[in-house]
Amino acid sequence: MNRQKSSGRFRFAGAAALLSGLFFLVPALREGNATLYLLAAAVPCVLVLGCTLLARVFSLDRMITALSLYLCACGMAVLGPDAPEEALAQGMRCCAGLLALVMGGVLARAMVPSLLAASCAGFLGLLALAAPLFSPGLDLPLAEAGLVLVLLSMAAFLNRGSLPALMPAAGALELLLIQRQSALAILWGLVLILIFYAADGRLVIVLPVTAAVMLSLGGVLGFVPGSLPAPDPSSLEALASAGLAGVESLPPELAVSGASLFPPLAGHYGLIFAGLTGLLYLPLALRGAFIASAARTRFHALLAMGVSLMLGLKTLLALLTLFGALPLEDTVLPLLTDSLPSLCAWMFLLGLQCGISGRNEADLAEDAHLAMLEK
Amino acid sequence: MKQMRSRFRFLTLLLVCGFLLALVLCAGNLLKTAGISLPRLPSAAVSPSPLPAGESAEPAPPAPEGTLSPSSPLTEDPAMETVSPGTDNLTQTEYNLFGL
Amino acid sequence: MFSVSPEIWNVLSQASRWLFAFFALMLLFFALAWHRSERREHRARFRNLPGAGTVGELVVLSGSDELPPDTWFPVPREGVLGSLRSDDLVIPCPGVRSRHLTFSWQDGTGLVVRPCLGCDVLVDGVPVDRRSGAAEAALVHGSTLQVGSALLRLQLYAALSHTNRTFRPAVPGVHPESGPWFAPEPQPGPMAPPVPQAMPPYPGVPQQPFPPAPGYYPVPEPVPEAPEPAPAAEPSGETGQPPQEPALPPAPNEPVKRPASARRKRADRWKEDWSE
Repeated sequence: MNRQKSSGRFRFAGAAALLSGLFFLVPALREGNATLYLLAAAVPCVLVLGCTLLARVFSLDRMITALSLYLCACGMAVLGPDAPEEALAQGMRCCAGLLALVMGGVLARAMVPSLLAASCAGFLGLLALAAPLFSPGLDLPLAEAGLVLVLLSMAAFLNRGSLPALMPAAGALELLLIQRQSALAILWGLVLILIFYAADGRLVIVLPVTAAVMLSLGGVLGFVPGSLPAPDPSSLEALASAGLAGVESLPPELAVSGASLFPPLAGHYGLIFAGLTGLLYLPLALRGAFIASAARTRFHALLAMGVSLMLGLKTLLALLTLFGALPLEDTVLPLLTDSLPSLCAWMFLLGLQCGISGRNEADLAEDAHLAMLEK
Repeated sequence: MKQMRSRFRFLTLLLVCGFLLALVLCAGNLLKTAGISLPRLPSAAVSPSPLPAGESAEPAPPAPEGTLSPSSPLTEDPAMETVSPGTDNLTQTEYNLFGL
Repeated sequence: MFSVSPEIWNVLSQASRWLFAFFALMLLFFALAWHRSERREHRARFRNLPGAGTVGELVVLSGSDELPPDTWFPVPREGVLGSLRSDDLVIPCPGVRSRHLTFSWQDGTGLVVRPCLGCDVLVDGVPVDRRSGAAEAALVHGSTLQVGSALLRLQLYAALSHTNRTFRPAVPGVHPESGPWFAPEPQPGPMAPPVPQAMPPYPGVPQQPFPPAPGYYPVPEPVPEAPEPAPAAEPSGETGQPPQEPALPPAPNEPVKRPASARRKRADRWKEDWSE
């Protein structure tokens, strides 16, 4: 193994394991809580094992695995000091997310971008997005899961041409707009424009798509009252009250509410730590873009880039909303959430990237083998 | 594929610029909400709500002995409390982020 | 379980928050450094594998002033062929559009080409378009591809045959003066891989597909005969193959003089005979 590569991995994994252990050890020393001691031992072990053994067995990308596991540990650390049992429950959710990551990795290596697969994925994705319309009492947030499937479908269709991919993509956008999920609609609209630009850079394709997306978004969000809420300064004030290093007891405005774990993270550990954790999504997105560039087939390249764009743009939109720069409602960062469907959806997306990376490595290894045979 | 890869590079660059821009915007918004200039970041232990620009902070509640609060003032000078906003730079020493 | 006094815990709590911030900064740097080192390592691996990601090369048999004969390009697994410099395979010849065709490698089939709308493509002399019922065609080792005024021949890497990925040891017919090119019948051997079903049938003696426009579809120039025909480089089922028609361009006595404006430089081993 390349020594330089392994040292970077060990440094990161070591630091992440140490930090994730301290997250639970420090509050454990206050009351001697057994759950926190258990988490202080288990979380670093799972992190290290995930980065090494699991990644090796399933040929997952080690960097993405390490970063996603660390972010999951941060989500657990938010709940640890005040509610250790909740932190344990979050740990269970993260394990389910890890399973979704592995499934995504396996699927990415095995999936063939056929017309049937693309149609099925598109249909299921639109069904998941439309589920709240058919059953209003359904409280399960399936929007992100639906977008995952639509992204798969779009990448498979884009492999054959730009126009067939428009159908599931536009359908998803309209469904999100109908349900007034403005943040997700804006995210999906941006991803759509950028993916179409990446797949087919011709103006004859990109301009109409951009115009259609802008018209849809502007038409619904601009003219329908109540689509876009007024900017809420209270979240920013609450974050500002956390200070650079956090507070000992969390004020009510920073307590865990909704699905977002970022405000309580800032409250417990300070704005510096929270900001740096938010910036950790950047190497995650960069790694995804690198995997996309190294992919040998168009389908895998577009899929990896789509995941990277979704992750990066979601993070940006959530951070800008939290800090009062955007008037949206959704303040949930990917992976820093206590919602199981959302966590699994994002881990599945990252698993797809891991699988594509594993495929790239296998292709390179095969090329090396072929080169050896030729000699 | 060559064209697609060059577009990917452009999109990556856009993402990086987006992150940097978000960092600047968020930091700027935060400082604006806190109502102070950069050397005068508010302390967490002083008050839960941000103060308007120029107004000095109330003294921190008495902390237990031996506690090192990173943001509690090192010295409490009652005279500093009455300084009019934006006229006295000496208030900078009142806010000590590091508690040293 | 073990716990500390409140005073100690307060100190620990305050110190740990700054420590966590420091660790977070370290993690960010480590993550970016790791990403950077992985990129470098990937680039180094690619440099050590010049053929990585490619399936073979296209040799120009006839082209234009900008594309002289004997120029060759490495063929990636997937891409676009056209006259633009940003295309994966750049053919700056008359009659070649900016996006002329897309190609992709399919295991067991070959290099599948799909012409873009309104673009004329001939594979082994057979037109590939929807009118003739074939929206795509597969190129095998030795197949010829005619786009615009350029005539190209595909040479797959020999080692691909060892992975049981190829299909047949195609031997191109050398008949420059008679005009149309035709592909030979497959030579089944004891270990020849099965003929893939997806491929269009090879014509025995295909008709001239289009009347050659003056100056657009020139008759290919004669290929010089080699004194010693090089044995084919395909799977070992070629023992019964007649030696008079080499799979590769015959190696001349003198070293091949590459034109001064050769598109890519390759290691000398690519000029060698691939027989084993």
